Amino acid sequence: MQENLRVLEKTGSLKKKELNPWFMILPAFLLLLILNIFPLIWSLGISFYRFSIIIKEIPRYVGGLNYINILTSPETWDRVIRTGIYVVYSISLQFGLSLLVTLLLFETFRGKRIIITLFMIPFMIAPVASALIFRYLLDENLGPVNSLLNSLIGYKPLWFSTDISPLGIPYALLTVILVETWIWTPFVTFLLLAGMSAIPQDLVEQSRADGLKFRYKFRYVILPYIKPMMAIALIFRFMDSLKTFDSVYILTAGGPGSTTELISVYIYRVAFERWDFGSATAISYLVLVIVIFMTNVFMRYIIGVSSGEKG
Amino acid sequence: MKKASTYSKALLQYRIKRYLRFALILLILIAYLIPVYEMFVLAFKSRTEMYSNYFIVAQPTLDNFKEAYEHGAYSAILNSVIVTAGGVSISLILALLASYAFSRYPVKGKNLLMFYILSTRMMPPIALIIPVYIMFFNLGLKGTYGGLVLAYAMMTLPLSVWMIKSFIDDVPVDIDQAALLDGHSTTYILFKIVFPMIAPGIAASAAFAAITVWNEFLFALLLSGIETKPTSVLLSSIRGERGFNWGRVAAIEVIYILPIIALIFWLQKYMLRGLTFGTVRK
Amino acid sequence: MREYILEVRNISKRRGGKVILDNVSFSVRRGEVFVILGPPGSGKTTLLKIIAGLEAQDLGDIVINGEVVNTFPPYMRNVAMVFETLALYTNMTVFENIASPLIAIKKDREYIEKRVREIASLLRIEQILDRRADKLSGGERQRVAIARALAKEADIYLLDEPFLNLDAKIRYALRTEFKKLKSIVGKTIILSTSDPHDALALGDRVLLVNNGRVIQEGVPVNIYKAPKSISIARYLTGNMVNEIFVARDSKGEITSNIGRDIYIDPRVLDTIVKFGRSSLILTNYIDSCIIDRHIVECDGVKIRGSFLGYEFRGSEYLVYARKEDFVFKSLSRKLASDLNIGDEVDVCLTRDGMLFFDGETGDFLG
Repeated sequence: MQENLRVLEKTGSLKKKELNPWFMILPAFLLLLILNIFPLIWSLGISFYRFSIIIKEIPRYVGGLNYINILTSPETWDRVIRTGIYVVYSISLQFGLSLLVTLLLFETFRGKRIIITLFMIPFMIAPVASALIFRYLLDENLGPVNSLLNSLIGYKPLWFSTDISPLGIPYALLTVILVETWIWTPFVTFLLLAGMSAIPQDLVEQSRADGLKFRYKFRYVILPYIKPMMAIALIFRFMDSLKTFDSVYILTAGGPGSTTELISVYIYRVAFERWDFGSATAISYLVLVIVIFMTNVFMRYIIGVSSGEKG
Repeated sequence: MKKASTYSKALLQYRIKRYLRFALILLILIAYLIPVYEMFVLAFKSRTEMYSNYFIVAQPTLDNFKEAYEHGAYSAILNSVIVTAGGVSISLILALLASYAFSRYPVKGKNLLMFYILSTRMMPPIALIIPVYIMFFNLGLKGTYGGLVLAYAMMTLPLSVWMIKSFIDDVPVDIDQAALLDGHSTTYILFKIVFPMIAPGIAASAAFAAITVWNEFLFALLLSGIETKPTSVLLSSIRGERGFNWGRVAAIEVIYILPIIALIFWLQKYMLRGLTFGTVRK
Repeated sequence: MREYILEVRNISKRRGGKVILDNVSFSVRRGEVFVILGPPGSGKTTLLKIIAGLEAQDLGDIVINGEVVNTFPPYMRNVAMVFETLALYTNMTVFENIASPLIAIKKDREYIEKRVREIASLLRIEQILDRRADKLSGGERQRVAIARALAKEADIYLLDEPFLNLDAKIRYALRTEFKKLKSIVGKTIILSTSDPHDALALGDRVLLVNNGRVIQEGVPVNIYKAPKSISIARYLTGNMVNEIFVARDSKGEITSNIGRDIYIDPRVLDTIVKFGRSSLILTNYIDSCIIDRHIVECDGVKIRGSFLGYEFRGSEYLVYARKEDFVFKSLSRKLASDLNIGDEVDVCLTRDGMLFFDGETGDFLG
């Protein structure tokens, strides 16, 4: 007590030794407020105007006109459907492939760690870089892929064209789907592997000792542990695929025409090629609302299913 | 005698299966990474070899790197470094303080704030970039380092906060309390006790944030200027040219992705935490 | 100098709807070892943290040296604490850990050097002063935590489960060292534990808590001899008690759960009648129970059972005998050497070691 009183005397006041927590949060919060929350709210306002900096028109209030135009134009719906197709295909592929790879990596073996680490390179490097190299690889005339395919099946698919691929979608869109799959499958695999590594060792050994057929091993040993991770991966990938922009921009810039204009690319074009900020922000808001809504629904459904099962 | 031979036969079968499986895995991995391999191969190929000899370089050359340098690769990489270092530094400092508060204090509305921070991940950047672009344009921030740095600080803040908070959560509160009882101030506890304890975690968080910024494209495309454009923008501008030298592109790419590949190995331990924004830990 | 260095008055605390502490009050005398005993989850740690000022109580006051310290921050309360988790600063050396409280009050280097080494030698950890705190053995870490608390020079020391998570050997060694320390340091020590043996062995006074409430308080001997309820008696001895349930019917007839084959001394019967309850539990600790081939004189309750076995404990024997489903235990210095399992033996529960509890409530009667 004496010592503390002496400290008091020295500093002359009851030095407040504890920091107010709000002060600690404030700077971070301010940054987010200014550069994140405020712009989003502002863009809502913009969506009610006819707004364009370049045309030097004075912004004109048009109420909900932008929204009506968007919701009634076939152009918008065309993009929405395309994005939907893209999401379904790419997520199916990503998860299908990931599952296969994950199962292949079922038990530990020497070098597993290094292999997994190397396998993560595709999604850790910039999508821009990956997309560029695929531009080279898939070059329709001289690219390695087509040279190989030519010698194998005598045909060079036009990867960046509007020709319809065997899957029923244009080649350009297929290319985007394939590149994105290449980039993100390792990500999903990694999450699933993490889930699988949670399986208690004795269970694994037991199943091996019992000599179970693979079907049973999968259903009762592996699946319960992978399910929660699949849910998480699904939520993440769903949110992220709606944001797809970088690779499309590099691969096809949305074209040819609008063959690969996914929703993010569409908004970009409206905003920075047509310079119609009003419409662009309106579409953004609609997308935002849909994303938040669907993600919440998704989360509740998936978490409900996976935790219900585990109980 | 019969039993012994069936046992060794089964063992052999098992062994072969194992090796086959391993070989299959290796094959898949190699095939999967061919595009990355191609990047490296292309970088050392001269123009003439560009479309031949797909897996090897008959006449390796360093010309591409020289050409890249002449075409602005050096300044682009430098810009990437500046913008990444700046963005991550600011993000880290703000995140460190905020994370500690979130972890240790019963802040009112904490759950709401945390949910908000998590939901920033849901938002397509394109939705955000439009108003920010207008803002920056009007404020004269377009094309400046400062503007882009601030934007990136904002972008990486949620990730940093979640991750660092998860590391601080791992430090028992007793430690803070022991220090309080000893008579230390909160500042001392923060900087001399808690942060040093989670130093590897802070480094990992910084690395993940850095990777995010380093790879970022959209904001860089719209907010950087001719002098300040980072590597991702440089790469994207190449695509328009006809009959250009893919080798040069590959050379830039190689320099661009090397730091990331190195980081992956270093970050192995924190990978799961980083990828799931700190919500999942092994 | 006030007699009570610490007064805890009506402390209550809830956390998330759950009651952690409920109207806890007690006082601690200067220089004594005060033990808070209770099962895990009974609120001991929270209580200590509230005393230290690391957590705030919902209701009640903490009074230290006559001053109400409710609004005082932890470092101003003149208490030092050793946490159950030890809470060492793992990124610092042992020296820096011990020096921490001195650094906080800005002592000069010379003083810190001297004092840290003094304390380190007291606890015999001088040789590890330069080691990092995360590279120590369990016993070493315990001592460093204690050293850090000692360095603070507070008047009250709070030790939260100091003997938990230690293996038997270190535990025993620490207990003896504790006694030594206590005499050297001469400060007031408040200790929490869930081990009744530690409590009874080390405490000058003991406070029994459960579910956040004070159950009983007093000098160990008194608690042992007069536990407020039978559950306390069972808890204190780890269920090493002998119990006989007796009931009185309307006619005044006394029956026991043992059956008919039991002899109850008339004076015991009188006591049973005197208490006037419809049922009682007669309880003897194992040191007031005798098991032998033939016991001629038994002034309490005598039962005929069969020998079950024994545990050799070095200086004494723990003998077991059985009657149907009931097992009796007795602690004695010697063992009748010719006893075999199954042999018939007499069990005598002596009268002056007998505790009477109400059969329904378990409350202590006499």
